[in-house]
Amino acid sequence: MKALLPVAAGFFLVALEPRLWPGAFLYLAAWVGLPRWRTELAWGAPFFTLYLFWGLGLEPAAAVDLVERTRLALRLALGLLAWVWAASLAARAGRTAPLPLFLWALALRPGGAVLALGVLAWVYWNYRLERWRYAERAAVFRVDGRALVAVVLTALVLAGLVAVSVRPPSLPVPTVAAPAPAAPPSSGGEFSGEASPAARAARWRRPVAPLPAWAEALGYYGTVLAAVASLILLGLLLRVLWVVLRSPGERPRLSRRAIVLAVLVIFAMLFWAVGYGLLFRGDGAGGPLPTPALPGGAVPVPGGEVLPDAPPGPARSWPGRLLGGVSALGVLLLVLMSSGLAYLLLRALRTDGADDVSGSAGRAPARTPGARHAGRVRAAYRVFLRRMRRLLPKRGSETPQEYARRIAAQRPDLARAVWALTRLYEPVRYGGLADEAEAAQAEAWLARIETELKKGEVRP
Amino acid sequence: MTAEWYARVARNVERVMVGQEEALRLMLAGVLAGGHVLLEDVPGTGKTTLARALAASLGLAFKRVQFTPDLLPSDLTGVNVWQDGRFRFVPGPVFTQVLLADEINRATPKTQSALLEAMAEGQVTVDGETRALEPPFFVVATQNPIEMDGTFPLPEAQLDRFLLRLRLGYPDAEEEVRMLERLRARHPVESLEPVSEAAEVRALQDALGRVRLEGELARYVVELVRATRTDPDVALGASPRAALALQRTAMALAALAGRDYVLPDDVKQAAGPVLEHRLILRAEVRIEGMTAAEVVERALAGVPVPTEELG
Repeated sequence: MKALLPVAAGFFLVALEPRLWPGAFLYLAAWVGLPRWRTELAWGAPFFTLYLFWGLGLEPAAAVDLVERTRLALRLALGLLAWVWAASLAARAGRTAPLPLFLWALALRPGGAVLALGVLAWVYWNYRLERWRYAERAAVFRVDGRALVAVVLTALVLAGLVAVSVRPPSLPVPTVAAPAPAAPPSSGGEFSGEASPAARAARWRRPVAPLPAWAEALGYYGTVLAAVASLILLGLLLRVLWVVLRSPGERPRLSRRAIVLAVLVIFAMLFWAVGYGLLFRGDGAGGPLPTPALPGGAVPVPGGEVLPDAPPGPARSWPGRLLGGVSALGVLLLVLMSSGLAYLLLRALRTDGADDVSGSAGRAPARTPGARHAGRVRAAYRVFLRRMRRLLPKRGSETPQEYARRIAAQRPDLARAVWALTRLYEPVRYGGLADEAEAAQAEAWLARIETELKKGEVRP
Repeated sequence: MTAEWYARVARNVERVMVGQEEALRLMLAGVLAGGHVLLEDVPGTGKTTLARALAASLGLAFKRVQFTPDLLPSDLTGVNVWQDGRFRFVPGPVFTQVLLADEINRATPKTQSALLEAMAEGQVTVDGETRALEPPFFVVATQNPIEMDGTFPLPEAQLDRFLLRLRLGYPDAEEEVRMLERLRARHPVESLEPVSEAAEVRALQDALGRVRLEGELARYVVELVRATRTDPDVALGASPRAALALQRTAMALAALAGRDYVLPDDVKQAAGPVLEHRLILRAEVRIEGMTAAEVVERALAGVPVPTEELG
């Protein structure tokens, strides 16, 4: 979990105001330094931030304004809760541990920096996770070339998505529907090209009333959600690609499930494309597409005249933006549903694969649940062996029980803890099953052994 | 389920056998593994009593054959006799579920070999006709290692058919006192009631396949067996059949302990009884007094147990 700290620090630095950094890093330091208080820290995250603002008064200027102060506290509290969530995922060795922090940062600062940091965090965390898993199996870690290619491709595609999704295209749209009063059109409704600068400016002025705040917010968050949806889709596609490519040298097996999965992904992509078009390119659902821009910001208008110096900025009417936001939500929902189905199918595919592998000589069914906790128990036993290496090293031909018996004979003070750890370790190592409680017990017994050993060191 | 069965049978057998818990556990492991057991010890240590008590407790059909030099193969397997104008098959004592082959090394190799097919395949062929034996079929053979005059040592092929070779040994003083107290009136083996039945034994034998033996432990079993082949003092090491026997016995011991997975301790515990009688030592080291048990000990001390790698 400590490996996740740089990720959290990166997101805090990018997403939070500098005045909030001390509080955020103090919380992280408390999380690392007070492992027994983590439950209290998790529940107390919001109070922690409020205390910082009211009690310590880190920002005197903010203390004047209650609304501003609360807003800042809320941002920090959400960030800390995102960290708590991420840390709990990391403790279970979840691949998606950086995701809560990423989503939080993206909601605060939707931009290329957060997206790029998200990619980096994902790559970094999964790299650490894989290294850890290889170490668990005492295997040599090496990075697959295909994984590197996947990362590069991801970065490239994300860069493209950043350019497209987060910054709305600044298409100058002529206000044909509402002509400027200072420059009425000439005879026949044709534009004469002799408009004054004021008339020209008025021609480009927005014809509609300013958007209500809630509509602005909806449009804004619609944009963010669309970007998130595109990321989810991208991840899904990469996963499908991985499933297809995962068996080198063999013909990729396209089972019926894989085909259904591919169809689902294509549907999700189509919905996404339609929704995205509504959001940025159209004027509401079913509305006409805007006239495309020419180089230099000039825009063709009816009559063949080209207006130079068109003012930039989005010019969609608010119903269009509202519909865009709604459609983005719909797209997100569809993508989430498709992703959920795809995830279920992937799990089914993985289960099929696991059934093919027979790791045991007996005819016992393969047991995969609890592998994560099994790793924790085995890690605890390995640490125990390391701690004992100088005192009473385990012989290669000794079974765990024989070793525990020898330790119990020579160090009775360790006997209880060593036997307890051994009894937890054996079913995990040779039975292949463990639950979270057993993993926690093993770690607790290891801590007890370490304490006893430390006592022994200071003993004369 | 298996552990409860074991406790039930052990309690019943202990009414007539005192201080042979370890031998009884290994014998029951042999029953579960579908193997056969060779009991080797001096006279009067309870070999026959243990076999009879076991058969009675398991509720299995029991027959005893005293092997002598003039025992013929047909005395074991049965013969076709001419009766009422046609041949009628009269089954021999091998048609049972627990066969006690007492002092098996007193019979000639020809008669000993008559048991091979029954032990390996659970069937008997007489006059070209093959008849299946009723499962579970379990042979308990005894032999006396002291009196070698007039005996025929078991051929290697037959020794390999025995899953386990056990030595009962003498009970300690306390156990011997307890034995005297219990057997004052009459031998209670006559009144031993069955606490199990053939169907239950067959079900437990089938359930043995569900015991998990982790991949690295299977490799450990193989490494142990291979170590006996490369030992410089061994003329003939353990066979692949020995590796199978070791694996199955370890699985049975795990099941008797109430586990559904095998520990390296199970393998180690089974190694001696499974491997020792399968090894042939070089003549020169045999003369020096080395035993197969020492070779197995050396293998156990030399092959690393799969636990955790410390980089």
